[in-house]
Order: sequence, then structure tokens, then C-alpha cells
Amino acid sequence: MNVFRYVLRRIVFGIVVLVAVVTMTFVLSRSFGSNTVAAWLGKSASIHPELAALYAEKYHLNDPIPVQYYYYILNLLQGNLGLSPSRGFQPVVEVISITLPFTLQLAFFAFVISVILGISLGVLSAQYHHKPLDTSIRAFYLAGYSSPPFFVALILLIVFALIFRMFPSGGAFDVALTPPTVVTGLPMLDSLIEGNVSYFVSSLRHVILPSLALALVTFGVLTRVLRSSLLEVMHSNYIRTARAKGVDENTVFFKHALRNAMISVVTISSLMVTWLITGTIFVENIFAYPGMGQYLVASLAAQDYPGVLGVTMVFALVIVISNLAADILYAVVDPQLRLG
Amino acid sequence: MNSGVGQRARDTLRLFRRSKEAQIGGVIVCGFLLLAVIVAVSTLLGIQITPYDPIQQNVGPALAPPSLSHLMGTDINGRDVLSRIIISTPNDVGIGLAVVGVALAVGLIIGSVAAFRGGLLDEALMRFTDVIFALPVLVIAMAIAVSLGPGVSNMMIALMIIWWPPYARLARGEALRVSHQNYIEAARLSGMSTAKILFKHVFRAILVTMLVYATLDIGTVILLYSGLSYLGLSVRPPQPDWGEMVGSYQDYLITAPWLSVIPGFIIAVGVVGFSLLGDGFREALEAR
Repeated sequence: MNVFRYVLRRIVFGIVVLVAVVTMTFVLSRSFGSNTVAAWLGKSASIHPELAALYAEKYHLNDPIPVQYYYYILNLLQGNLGLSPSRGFQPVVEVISITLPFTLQLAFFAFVISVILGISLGVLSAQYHHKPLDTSIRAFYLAGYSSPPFFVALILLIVFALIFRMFPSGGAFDVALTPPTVVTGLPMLDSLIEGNVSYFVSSLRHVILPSLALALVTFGVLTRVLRSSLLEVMHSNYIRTARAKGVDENTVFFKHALRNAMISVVTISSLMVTWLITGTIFVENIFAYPGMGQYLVASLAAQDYPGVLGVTMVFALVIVISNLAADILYAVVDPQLRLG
Repeated sequence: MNSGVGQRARDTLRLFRRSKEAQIGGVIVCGFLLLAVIVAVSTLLGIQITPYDPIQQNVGPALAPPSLSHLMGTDINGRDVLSRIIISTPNDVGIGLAVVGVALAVGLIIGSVAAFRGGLLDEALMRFTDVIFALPVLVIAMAIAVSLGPGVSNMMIALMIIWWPPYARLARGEALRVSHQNYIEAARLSGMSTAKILFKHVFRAILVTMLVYATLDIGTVILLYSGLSYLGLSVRPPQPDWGEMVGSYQDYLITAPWLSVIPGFIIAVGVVGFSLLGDGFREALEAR
């Protein structure tokens, strides 16, 4: 199969998944019991019946189900995710456009830490196979991926923010600082572009603990897969051939073995991204990081359905896109797919 | 055939006994299972086995640090934390078992039917499985949770709806592997119906592999459920639950950090136990 067809198939599949998510959220949004409007507006529906009627009219909530579905999709395509009662009826899209950049920032740093930690420990673990270092690394990643993200986040918060006071305990930046003007939408990137060093440093100090917490629960997936595929590759014929030719051990390991073992890492990275993204929900909540996860938790607590469903869809979109990226990367690194 | 499966299980068990890690996992898992059963039975019989009533307030001073009379301290309402942790065991362990059990049954049926029927049905079932598999589990579980409303059984249902796809994939692969073996061909030639072949031969043959995966998976379900519980989507106060305790005790991080840390640690230990045990089983199965 050539790469182009493969990528095309993955894109179509991604779209199908998104349609499934949208349909699922639609079904869920219409199953809040007898009165959809009341569920969507919360308490204010009974206080302001005229507002409820207006709302039902605007979102076609009293029409037959297929008509509702049509308008639901239409609204989505126009970027209209409804109004968020827990945020004073601010449009959900607006709240997400403010919070998403922070979540992406956090996930980016967590991803970088996770990859560095995951790959270096995986390599060490394979090189020192069955030695004490290997055993301790395995214990470390097992503890990491077996721990709930909120537990790891709390431990880091208690130790590094409350006891040693090395890092701030919450927020995304020092509120006394002026935020950079919006260029890319990502505050840290914007501050770099603007040359706003103090804002960037402050953001960095705020992002370290939450991203470390996320990385600690996700890197284990990489380490585990890399370790086992390295061990498998090291026993294969072409490695024996390379050694027999007199290639030195470092070249054998890093050039021949690691490169091939990385293919399995790319395969697993989509799973890792899903964990990272969903982990932000807990970590943001604990570190009061103003991202989408925190908005989701607040919406859950306030029974803000448009908020919950809106965030659900954006999370799904982010995950589908990152899985697609992993699939494409896979097509690039796997010679079987590239040349076959 | 029968002796084949028995032999396989025996071989796996023998290899399993050589692994120290798997044994640690086994001890942890057995401990949790035993505690869950004891607590569940004693609750049914109305006997209190916890040191204090887990719901009763002011059995000790508020926010007391761990001591001999309260091994894990007390919370803001003077409730005994150890008692609350013990009483939550059947909930967390039970959900892990129930969700994985249902996923295994559903996956087993979908996967092996897809493998044996083949053709369009296979294609349709597996593409459906792929789509559900690609959904972000936690987020979808939350959306389902919100529409069903919070509660332990609702969380369980939410997880069951989306948990089966990997089992269906695994079952399909395994069923395809056994479908070409002689005894299956023989059964087919003798005129046995597909349903009967599936029930009499295929399910039995692939169950060991599925159970190994399931063991590894119970920990993941507990981890995910604890997340939903942490967010307040599961038990209603004053009922305790591990995840819920971490979440609601988080407000006392400065004055009483152990309140959140202890239940979080308990979850981690339980998950480690299932991971070690599952890994041990898997390695034993692969090494054979």
C-alpha cells in the first residue's frame, strides 16, 4: 500500500470517528430526561420561562429529532457550541478559545518531558537488562503508570510547591504581569515573539509541575514499549550480522537497533497522547491551571451540559488530530510502508 | 481438546510461579479481593468490621494526624479515614471486575462471530469496533456520566459501553487462529452449527489469552473509575470512595496532606498489583 492511500484512509477514518463523537454527544444531549431545555439552561429555565422559550427556538429543541440533529451539526460547523450557564452564558466556543491554548501548552511540555524521560530510560533499561538499574527503572515506570494522575499531581504539589516552595502552587502565570498581545494564541509562544521575557519565565515556572505530573504518568508507556522492542531487536539476525562484520557496539545499538525499535514507539505514541490530553483534566484542576480541563471540571460540578459536551468534542478533535499525526509519522518512519 | 486447554493453563501457571514480580502482584490482588469480599459480606450481614463506623461523624477529633487510635487519621468531620478506605474496597474492586467481565463477554462474542462469519458482517463489526476504540474513553465516559447523572452504577454502565473494543479485536484474532485447526474443521464437517462450535470449542480455546489481557486491564479500569470518582461523578456523600476521598480531602492539603495522599496511594497499590499479576500471566503465556 502506498503512503498516500494509507494517509487518505487514516484521514477518512478520523472523520468517521469525529462523526461518531458528534452523534454520541447529540444522543446524550437529548437524553437528559423529559425537558432538554431545562437541562441545558439549568436553574434559570424555571426562573425565566421566556428565556427558555427563546433558547428552545434558537436551538430547535422542540423540533423532531432528525431536524434537531441537522441543526446540531449545522451549529457545530458554524462553531456554535451553545452557551455556558456556569460562565454567565458566555458562548462555549469563546471559553474554549481562551482555555484551549493553555491546555495545549501544558500538553506540549508534558509531551516533551515524557518523550525525553521515556526514551532515555527505555534505552538505559535495555542496555542494563536484568541489572539493578533495569529493575529500578521498571519499578519507577510501573509506579508511574499505575498511579492516578491526580495522585502524582498532589504529591508534586505538596513536596515542591507547599513544602519546598520551589515552584508556584497554581495558575499559569504571575497575574501581576501583562500578558503578551495575541499572535499565535499560545501565550508562551506569543511572549517569546514579543520578547516579554518575564512573562515567559513566569509561565515556564508555572507549567513545570503540572507538566511533570502528566509526564510521570505517561512516560512509562514509552519506556516499556521501547525496552521490550529493543531487547527483541538486539536478538535479531541483522544485529548479529552487524556485530559479525565488526561494527562497534555503540553503532550497532544506536544506529541499527534503536532506529528500528523507534517504530514501535511511534505506534504507541498515539495512546500516550490520549493519556496526556485526558490527564490534563485532573492536573489542571489540582494546579488551578486555566485550561480546558479545568473548565470541564467546573462544568461538571455546575451541571453545565453545553460546557461538558463542547469540551468533550474539542478533546475528541484534539485526540483524533494527534492520532492522525502519529499515523502519518508512522508512515514516514516505517520503511515497509514507505517503500512497500 | 479439553486436556489441551487444561495443559495450557497448567503450563502457564508453572511458568508464572517462577516470576517473583507476578507473585507480589498475586499477593496484592488476593489481598484486595479478599478484603472486598469480607467487606461486602459483612455489610450484607450488617456486621461492622471497620474499626469505626465509616459514615459516623466525630468518632475522633477533626483532622487528627495518623495515630494508634486512628491509623490513617480523621477527616474534617471527625470520621475515621481507615474505616472509610476499607469500606470502599468492594466498590472499586467490584467495578474493575464487572466492567472487565462485561467487556470480555461482549468482545468474545463480537470478535469470534466476526471471525467465523467473515465477509460483510466481519467488516461491519470490526469497523464499528475500530471507531469505538478510537474514542477518548475518559472524556466519553464523562459525557455519558453527565447525561445519566452521577452514581456508582451509572459510572459502571458508562465504562461498560466503551470498554469492549480491544477484547473484540483480541477475540477475533485468536478465533481466526484456532478456526483453521483440525478439530474445528472436523466439527464443521460433522455438521455442527456455528453457534455450537463457538460455544463448545472456540470460546474455550481463546479464553486463556483473553483472561490474561483482562487481568492486566482490571487495574486500568480501577484507575479510570477512580478518576471519575475523584471528579465527584460516582458515590454521593457521605458514602466514601477512594477517588472521591482524594478529591474532597484536597481542600485540606496544607493542614492535613495525608488525607488525600493515603487513598491515592491505595489506588496506586491496587493498580500495581493487577499490572504485575497481568504481566506475569502474559509473560508466562508468551514464553510457553
